[in-house]
This record gives sequence, C-alpha cells and structure tokens, in this order.
Amino acid sequence: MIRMTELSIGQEVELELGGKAKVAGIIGSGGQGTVYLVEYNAMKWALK
Amino acid sequence: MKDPEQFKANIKRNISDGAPSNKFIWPRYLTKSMEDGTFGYLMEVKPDSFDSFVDILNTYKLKVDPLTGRAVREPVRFTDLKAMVTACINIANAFRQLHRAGKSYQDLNDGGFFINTDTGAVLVVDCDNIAPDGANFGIGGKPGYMAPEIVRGIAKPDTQTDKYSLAVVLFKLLFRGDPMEGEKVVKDVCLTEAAELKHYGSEALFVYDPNDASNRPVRGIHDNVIKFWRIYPDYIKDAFIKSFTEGLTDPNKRIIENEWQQLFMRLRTEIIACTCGRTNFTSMFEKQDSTTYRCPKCGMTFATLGFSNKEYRMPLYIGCKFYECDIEQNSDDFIGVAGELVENKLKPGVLGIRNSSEKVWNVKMPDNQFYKVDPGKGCPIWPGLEIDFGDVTAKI
Ligand SMILES: [Zn+2]
Repeated sequence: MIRMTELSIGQEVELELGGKAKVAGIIGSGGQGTVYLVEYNAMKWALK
Repeated sequence: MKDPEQFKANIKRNISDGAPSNKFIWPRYLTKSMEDGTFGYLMEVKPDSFDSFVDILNTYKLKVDPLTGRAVREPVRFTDLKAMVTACINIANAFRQLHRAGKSYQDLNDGGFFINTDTGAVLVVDCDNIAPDGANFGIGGKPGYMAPEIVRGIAKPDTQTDKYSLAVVLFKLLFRGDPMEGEKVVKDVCLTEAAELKHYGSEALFVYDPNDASNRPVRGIHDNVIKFWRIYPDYIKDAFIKSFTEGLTDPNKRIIENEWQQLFMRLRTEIIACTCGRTNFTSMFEKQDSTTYRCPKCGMTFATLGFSNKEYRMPLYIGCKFYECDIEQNSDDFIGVAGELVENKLKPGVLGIRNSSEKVWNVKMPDNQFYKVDPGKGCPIWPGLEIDFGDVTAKI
C-alpha cells in the first residue's frame, strides 16, 4: 500500500521515465489513500 | 510496509512485465519519490460503466444529485442472470491469467473489482500488491476474505490463499452473504479480534458443511444465503462445499480457477429465459423428458442441444447463445458469440440457429441431407438437427 503525499490541483509530479503529470482533480479517496485524476502525455490517468 | 524500496522495485517489475490481460487496471508509470520518500503510480482511469463490487453487494450506490447537492441512492443490479454468471466467469478467468503469469494478488477482497452489470465484464483494480508467487511485502488481507491459514498467522499470501479468497468472492456474489457466518457466529456476540480469529481462522466452519450443521444460516439474518442456496444446481454448491470444507484446511483441495471457469460456463449455458418472463437455471425448470425442459409457470417446453465435448445440454430459447469455446476444442473465448437462436423475421414462430462464427457449418436439414451454412446464415430447428462445426458436433 502506498500513501502518496497529499497533492493539490494544478501541482506537477515528476515521473521516473521523465515528464510530468499534472493533477487535475480527485477521483476518490478511501482506505487505500487518495486517487487523483492527472494529465500526462495529453491523456487522462489515475494517480495513486 | 516492510521495505518501501522493495515494494517500489516490485511495482517497477510489474510495469515492465505488463498486465496479464486487459481485465487489469495495471500500474503503468512510476512517479519519482517525493521528499518524504512516498511515491505513486499512474494507471488507466476506470470507465464509468463499471460499478464497484462493494456497491453490487450493497445493491445501491450513492450519487450526488447535481441540483440539490444531496447524495441519493441509485440501484446497482445485474441486468440479467446471464450478466451475473458472466461476471463469475470473468473473475475466475482474470485470476487464472494472473496465476498463469506466476503472480498472486495477495489481498483479494470486495474492493478489488469493478463489474459492468450489463455485460458481466470485470476489471481488477488495486494491483499494487501483486507480486511473484511466494514473495510478500507485508500485506495480509481483509477479514472474511483471507484464507484461514493467514488469519492464524501460519502462512503468507500466495496463489493458494488467493484461491480461497476467490471462492469467498464468488460465494458473496452468488449467495449475497458470508460463507462462514451462521448460527455459531451469531451466538458469539463479541465481535472482537479474537472472535474474528476464531470464526475465520482456527474454528472456521462453512454454513452448509454437510458434516456439521452447527453453523447454518439463521432465518431473519441470513435470508439471502438461505434463498439462493436453494436455486443453484448441485455442481455449483458442491464446488463451494469442497472449497469451504476440505479446502479450508488443505489448500491443495481448493477449486482451481479453470475449474470455476468451466463450472460457470456450464451455469451460463443452463439458463432459460422463458417468454412468460421466468428466467432461471434449468435446475429450477421441470424436466419433461431426458432432453426437454418445461416451464413450471406457463408450460412452454424447451428442446436442448447436446455438444460432443460436453456432458450437459444447452436449452434452446429465443436469444440463447453459444460461444467460440463451445464449438472449438482448444478455444478459451467465452465472449465471442458463435451461434444464436433467432426467430425468423418473415415467419414468426419459426426458430433457427444463426451462424455468428467465421466458420462454415455442415448442417443436417429436415430432408436428412447435410448442407453448408455460411457465416451470417441460419438453419431451422427440427428434431433431427445435427451441426458439424469441425472440431465439435452438436445434436438436438
Ligand atoms: Zn414460461
């Protein structure tokens, strides 16, 4: 289980392979931590 | 968490291995570690058309009304019986694919799945604890889903304990209750951690253990289990009995994923949707003779088609389907439709089987001669019908 540091909308997160994912919103939060909606490579992804 | 670096390396390995199939919302990209050492990963966004297994068990979900801002209950139910049984096939198949890839899920529970209630399509989520079979990063599991040997602290999660959790998930989906929660558990009022250890660990007892009736479901509390246990055919009940009696203490006796898949494929074949509105398994229809079922509500009869590769027969009703895996010996394709029973549009009441596959069938027609039936074409249903699919043959 990962507990990613709390992120705020608009914040950018660096990826290991290079590039940045930009936080666009929150998809959900629960026992497994918060899942964020992010944009990366012009696509939407979930970040946990 | 035992070792965050090991854990991160495991996710990295999973990313490079790729998902076992498209049924998994799999980690795709790792983030760099933050200042505090935490990290995250990117995965695909779950489509809206999938509901969580938790909501399915609850039969509703909460949705915020955009006008009032208030949360309202929205029903979550399978469109039909076929969609529910297809979900069981898909769940078993997903874990078969995962275990074949040499990995175990480890903490299989109701939070790990999303299901499309119209089609029975399944997505496995929370894939971050998936690890090579035998490896473990400190995860235990959720009470009620964990294998007894994990609850007792004498084993670590692996593919064998996944099999136990899989049986629990399937039981909950079909019977809408807990396989170990009956009279014995209800009498024990304290729901402490020690009691949990007892009821799911050292003293776990299946509610329908044929050799011990002391933990039967209680009327008024476990009504779903009592109701649904009556309607399923014996081969399904026997599989759960085996999983939760012998399989409780001996992991080698647990039902393997492919066995579950075959059982639920049979169950899907043995659904009858009568025109009067009654839809149920053949076990809940009358048997007129060895190859004909009769609807107890309206009296309609259903002929059956027997496939050369199966011990059971498929009842024929408008809209019933068979699949690629039914007509091809080594196919695992239980989604691709190969044939479908349809009503002749020009002659209402006249039924035929449409060739929805890509193969040419050789079919015995009412003049007792065999004719080719091309893809997209159909053949009439008659008492002497025989279809030669190549690998497999079928007869009325
Ligand atoms: Zn009927």
